[in-house]
Amino acid sequence: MNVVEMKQVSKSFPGTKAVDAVDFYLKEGEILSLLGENGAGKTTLMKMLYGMHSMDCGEIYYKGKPVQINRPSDAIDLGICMVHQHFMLVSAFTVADNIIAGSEPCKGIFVDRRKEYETIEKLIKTFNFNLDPYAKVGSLSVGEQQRVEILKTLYREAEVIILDEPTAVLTPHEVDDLFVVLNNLRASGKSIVIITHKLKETKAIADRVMVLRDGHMIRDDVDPKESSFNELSDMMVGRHVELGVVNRTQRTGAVRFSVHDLNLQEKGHTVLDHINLDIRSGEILGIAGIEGNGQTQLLNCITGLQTPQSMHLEIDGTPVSGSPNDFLRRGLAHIPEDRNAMGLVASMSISDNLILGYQDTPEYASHGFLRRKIINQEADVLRKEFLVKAPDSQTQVGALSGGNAQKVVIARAVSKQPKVLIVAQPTRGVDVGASEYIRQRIRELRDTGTAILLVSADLDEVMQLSDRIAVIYEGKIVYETPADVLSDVELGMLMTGSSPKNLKGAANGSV
Amino acid sequence: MEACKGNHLLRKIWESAKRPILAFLLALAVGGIMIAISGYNPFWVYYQVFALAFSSTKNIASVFAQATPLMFSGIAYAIAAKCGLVNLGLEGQMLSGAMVSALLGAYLTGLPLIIHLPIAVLGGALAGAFTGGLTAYLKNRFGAREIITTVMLNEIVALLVSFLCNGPFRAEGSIWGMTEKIQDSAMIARIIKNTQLTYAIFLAVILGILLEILLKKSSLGYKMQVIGQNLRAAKTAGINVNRVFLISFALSGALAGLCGAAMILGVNYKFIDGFSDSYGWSGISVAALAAYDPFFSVVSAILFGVLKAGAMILNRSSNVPKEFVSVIQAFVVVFVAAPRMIDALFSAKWLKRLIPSKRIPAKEGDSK
Repeated sequence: MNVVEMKQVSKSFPGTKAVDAVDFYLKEGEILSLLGENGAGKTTLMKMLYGMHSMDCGEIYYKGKPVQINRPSDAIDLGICMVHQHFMLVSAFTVADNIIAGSEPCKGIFVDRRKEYETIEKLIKTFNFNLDPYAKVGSLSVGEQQRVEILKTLYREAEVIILDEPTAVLTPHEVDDLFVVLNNLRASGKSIVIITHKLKETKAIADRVMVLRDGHMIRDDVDPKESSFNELSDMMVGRHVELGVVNRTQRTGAVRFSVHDLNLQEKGHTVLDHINLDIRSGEILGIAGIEGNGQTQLLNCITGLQTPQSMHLEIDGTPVSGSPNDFLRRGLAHIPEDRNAMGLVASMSISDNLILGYQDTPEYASHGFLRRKIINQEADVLRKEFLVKAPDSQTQVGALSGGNAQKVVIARAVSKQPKVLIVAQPTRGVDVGASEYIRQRIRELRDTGTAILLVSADLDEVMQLSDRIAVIYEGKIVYETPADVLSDVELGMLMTGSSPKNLKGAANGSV
Repeated sequence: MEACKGNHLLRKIWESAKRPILAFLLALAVGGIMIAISGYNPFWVYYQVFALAFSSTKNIASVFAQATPLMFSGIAYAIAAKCGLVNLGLEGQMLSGAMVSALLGAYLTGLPLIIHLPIAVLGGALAGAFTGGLTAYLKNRFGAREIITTVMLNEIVALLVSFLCNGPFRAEGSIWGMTEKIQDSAMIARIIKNTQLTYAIFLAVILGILLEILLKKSSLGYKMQVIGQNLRAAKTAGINVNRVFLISFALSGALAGLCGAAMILGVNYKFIDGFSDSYGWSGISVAALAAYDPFFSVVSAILFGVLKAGAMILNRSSNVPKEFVSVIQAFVVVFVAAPRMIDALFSAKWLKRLIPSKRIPAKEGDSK
């Protein structure tokens, strides 16, 4: 039986048709993977079901009956709940407080604390969630926080649970834990939708796959067991993409980038602890780690955005220190982790964004005035070379999709032929096709002799792209190893603080 | 193709102009309500204001004379706003410029006009730049928000100049606080005799154009815009944000100082306590109506000049209160500052029927 049906649903945003006459259905007690690239309309479709977006047209049936869902509370009343990609939790509250917030058990005007904790404890036990209701959410790992989010839906007696990119922030081990939880939920009769663009997880957990592309339903009954990665990818992208290309460095030279004795304290806490890294010419060093283990601060320190208590940084043997501009002029290019907040000015054109940071170099400015003609010409060349999809170079960056916007950032850094490239989250929020392209450009830059430091929350990406991997845990580099020595599970263990002695491949590694 | 391009440009202009235009119309409507409450027909009043403003050479001169200080302060606000700064200290910067110009104009003697006038003008600009720069210094050094410090500095400067013109620099035999009259060699000439229109207006227009060029063509202007639109990206890209803040605030303050200088050296010939008709504050409305663009601030200052001059002339022959112009000025800021309200009005169904629907350029599909 179909618990949810959406018929001929459409939704337009100014200039785009996000969802175009899509028929959607969800069977009772199944895990459905809603597969598609960024911007395919998956989240929009589900947000309409959840009442966060209004539908332009179409109908929703819940358990066979037509329903009107105008706001999330309507959906929650029906039993449809959504767990967002970015958690909506109050970190200073306890687990139980977070779960009940919004529909507290009351005794008069007071919250009934005893009932609160009793209910939550029972709930945790029923679904085998392994959480402490009294723990402060701020002290939980990301995977545990996600379980709190899922508990929130269960507390509201959800029958249908929608998870938006649930694995984006999890380690491989936490992904396995999540799958256990999802299997439990399925066993207890819940119907689950996972919005994702990850094929591995789709194959691992889903009973059925629906593929969306450019707002259209491509297939609604793919059996993940019967389909290969490449088949799923081709359906999702609409053409053939070579997945997971691995191409290790052929030749490394002398050490181009070295950082030694990097120590950083913030508010009395040690954030970075004696970091030492050397990267050779023609080498990509990947930093593997769970977000929040000091990666952001590491990036800030080695690009000049933050001044640590101690650091000795050399590029080609010359010490560098000072402001970001000093680092930039010494040949260090930076692809920041949050392109929209740090890397681009959305209201400016592609052409303007391509000179950001380089606006005072003699190449682009003379006597204080910008050399517009050269800037625009070069922008046209780069836009074509880096396959940025836009009508012209004067298009505002804010009008570009995530992948195309990221290509602008990549083009800016790569085209300067930097000695050192610091690249963070190069493919976050970028579709499969563009991701492979961006990785290829990074490898090409490596092959010209640039030393590259890669930081990514996506462990698969670190493993695919890096020639050498360093694992960061609580601000310390706990392990360094050539690529292809450790499995993702072993790396995941190191990322969560397991001792390297427990590894099988430990013989090859060094600290 | 060419037509298509032209269309695109027109649409771009319309996109950035529609909010200020509607804000202005709404402010006119609110002013109209006030006029109606005072017992006059707003349509008649507005018609009279515009008709009277252009009825004679003298009246036209009055329009531009009213517009001159507004041009300076409008450009001043706009140049800071482009850099993401809120300069609420225009009034204080204007007063400090006015006082320094008045003192230089009065106490420097024996200089020919060609030397004396530039010194007095420049002194005013530097005084404004200093006052403005002080705000930037406090912001950079101590992280003090400019919104607070500028307002505070306004008070400090207002009291300081009031002290100066009542105390040490009070003109001999004067009861009211004012400085000595400036030397003839420090006066800005009038374009038309017996009007208050001076050559300072050309300086304002030229500065409006120059700053527009600075903003659009120079690497400094580029950096200012990056900072104004995404401060974090500017920092990440290694732009020396503090330096640009200092320059922007000094530029803004210099223009406000020039506003004061133009009033003293061109119109009043001395610093009179409380002479300012909110010349500094008005810059906010002027710049808001110009979408914070230096050159369009010149245009919007003229529009306000028409209203102010027209209302003053009308006030002479009838009892229509000329204060409704201040109401309009204030409401322009309110409406420009509430873009979502304007957009909501714009997307109202009745308006959609009036304006043929425009296609917004589509978001590009994902890449290959």
